[in-house]
Amino acid sequence: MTRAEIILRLVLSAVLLAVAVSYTIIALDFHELARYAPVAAGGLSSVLLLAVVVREVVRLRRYDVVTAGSYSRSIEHVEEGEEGVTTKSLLAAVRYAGWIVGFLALVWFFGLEVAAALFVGSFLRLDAEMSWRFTAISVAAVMLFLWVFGTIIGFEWPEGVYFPL
Amino acid sequence: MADAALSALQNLATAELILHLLLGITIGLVIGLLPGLGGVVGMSLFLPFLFGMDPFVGMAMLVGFAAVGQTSDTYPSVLLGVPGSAGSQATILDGYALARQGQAARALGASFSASMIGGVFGAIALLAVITVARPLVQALGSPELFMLTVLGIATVGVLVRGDALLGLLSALIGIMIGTIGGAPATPEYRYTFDSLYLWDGVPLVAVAMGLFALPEVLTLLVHRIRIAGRAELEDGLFEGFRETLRHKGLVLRSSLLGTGIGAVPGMGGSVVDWMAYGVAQQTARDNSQFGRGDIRGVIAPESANNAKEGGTLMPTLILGIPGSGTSAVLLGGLILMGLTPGPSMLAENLDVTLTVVWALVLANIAATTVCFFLSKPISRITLIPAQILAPFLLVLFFAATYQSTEHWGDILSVIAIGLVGFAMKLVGWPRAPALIGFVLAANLERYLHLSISRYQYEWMTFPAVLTIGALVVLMATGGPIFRYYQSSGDREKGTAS
Repeated sequence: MTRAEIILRLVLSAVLLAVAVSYTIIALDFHELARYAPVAAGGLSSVLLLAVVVREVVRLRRYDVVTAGSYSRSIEHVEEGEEGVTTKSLLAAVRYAGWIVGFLALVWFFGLEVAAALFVGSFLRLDAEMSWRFTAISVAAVMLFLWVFGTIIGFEWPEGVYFPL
Repeated sequence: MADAALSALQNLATAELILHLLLGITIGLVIGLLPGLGGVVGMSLFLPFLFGMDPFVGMAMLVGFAAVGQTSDTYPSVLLGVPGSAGSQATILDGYALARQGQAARALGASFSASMIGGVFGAIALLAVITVARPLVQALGSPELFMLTVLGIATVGVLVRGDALLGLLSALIGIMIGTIGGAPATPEYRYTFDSLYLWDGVPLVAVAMGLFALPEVLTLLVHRIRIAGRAELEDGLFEGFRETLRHKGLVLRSSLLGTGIGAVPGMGGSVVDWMAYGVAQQTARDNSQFGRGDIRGVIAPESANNAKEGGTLMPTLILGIPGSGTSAVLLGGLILMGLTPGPSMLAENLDVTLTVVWALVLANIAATTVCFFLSKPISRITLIPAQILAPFLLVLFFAATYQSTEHWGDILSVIAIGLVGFAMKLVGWPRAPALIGFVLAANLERYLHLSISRYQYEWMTFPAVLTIGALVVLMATGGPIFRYYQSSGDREKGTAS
């Protein structure tokens, strides 16, 4: 486990602790019958998250002395072929999160069908650096997929709020 | 009974019924391929067409759809690491790990063959217990159902390797998300922040997509890799089939478990795959590869997942109590076709009930055959580089997510939960327990409330409650304790050598 991973875990635990404490405080105002589960889940989470925060602070302080050798990773963590958390990978994650937010903004403005075409086209050209021909075929395929499910099966797609097309 | 069963088989052997069965299978296959669209959403699409339809024809189509949905939902689970439906969540752990090792075809081969055996097992079990199941199902009250729900959450202790604290926390976070919306016992809307969207809670599709789909796509993009780490796919389709036959004991145990849990109303399909996975891991002599690509981690949940369909139909047909979301839609379909689910399905409509059983058998065999032969071309998706695959997946995920309630909130929920899910993946927090906690939160609260309302605290001394309680303790602590002693033993061996 790298130092960056310990810091990330600490930040995540601290954020979730704040959420769990707020969740529990809000639950105290509920009707008695609606309160049991939220108070129990929120209260227990708060206590356990506090323990994790303390543990991660201690781990961070001992990082230079004690390596993460005794630390058991969970079943899902860092699979074969993947690297651990690095500044480069975090920046890449932020960049791709930006693409997703951009896609949502397009959906918000133009609706899903147009946004999907714009997003797939620009992503394939700018990020994947695919040829114009491949990009055009891909955009057409996405449009066809959305049309088939929207028209024949009758799925409703989100329409643009400001520019419904 | 044997005459009636034979007569029902003859009823089914008509061109019209077979055609409708195949129609249901075809549509189910397409829908099942789309992450998050299987199960309830997909089946709901059928309801408008069922009004006034001949019961035999309608049931054949619905059962065909339900059976293939539980089989083809394995594709997204294994190939993309995204649950195709609620019942294929546990398959991700080892199925996706195998796909990343270039063994997608082997995982799919094992999965489909296990699904078929499980599905046929469930149908035979339905036939066998159809006349004796009623008193058994009625014997389960809210305290026992509450304890069975707790048992589902206790599988966390088995599933999480290493840090059980994080596993428990993850489950609690899932429960917290699950308590958003209306309280089961009183007209109070919790954590809605004046948003109408949150009144019904966060949809399962949004939570599953957020926890698994977005983090996986982001990870693939960040590391610029294919789903399959290797450029070549191993030719393991028939090897997977042979693996299933090799682990026939596991298939039968998981099928039995799936049928049993499926028969409990309200437990439904969301937990059965996890339980089967947990039991398989717990009882395996060498479980060191579970979560890293152990074929048994695919066989167990898939057998149980399909077997549960037969079990779920028991309370649905016999008592008129839907055992899961899909059986609730099936129940609606029965009513639309002019049938009355309940005891009458064993008397005046026994022929329809038995047709359902045979349709289930045939649909499972046909669905498996179709999926089996489509596996090789479909599994090639894992060889496509992330940069090309990702934009299509993102469009698909958001389009599928939007279908759950057709509200913008679905998409925003996926983003919010997806960011938390990605952070959890980065720092090694297990995400699967969060999904279990979320799925079981409503039942947990409802059954606890009913138990206390009816029995105060006396229910805690019920023999069935105590028995399941002992199982809960065993499930929650057995795994970590076993692994502790196993690692102690390994350390001692290492020191000695």
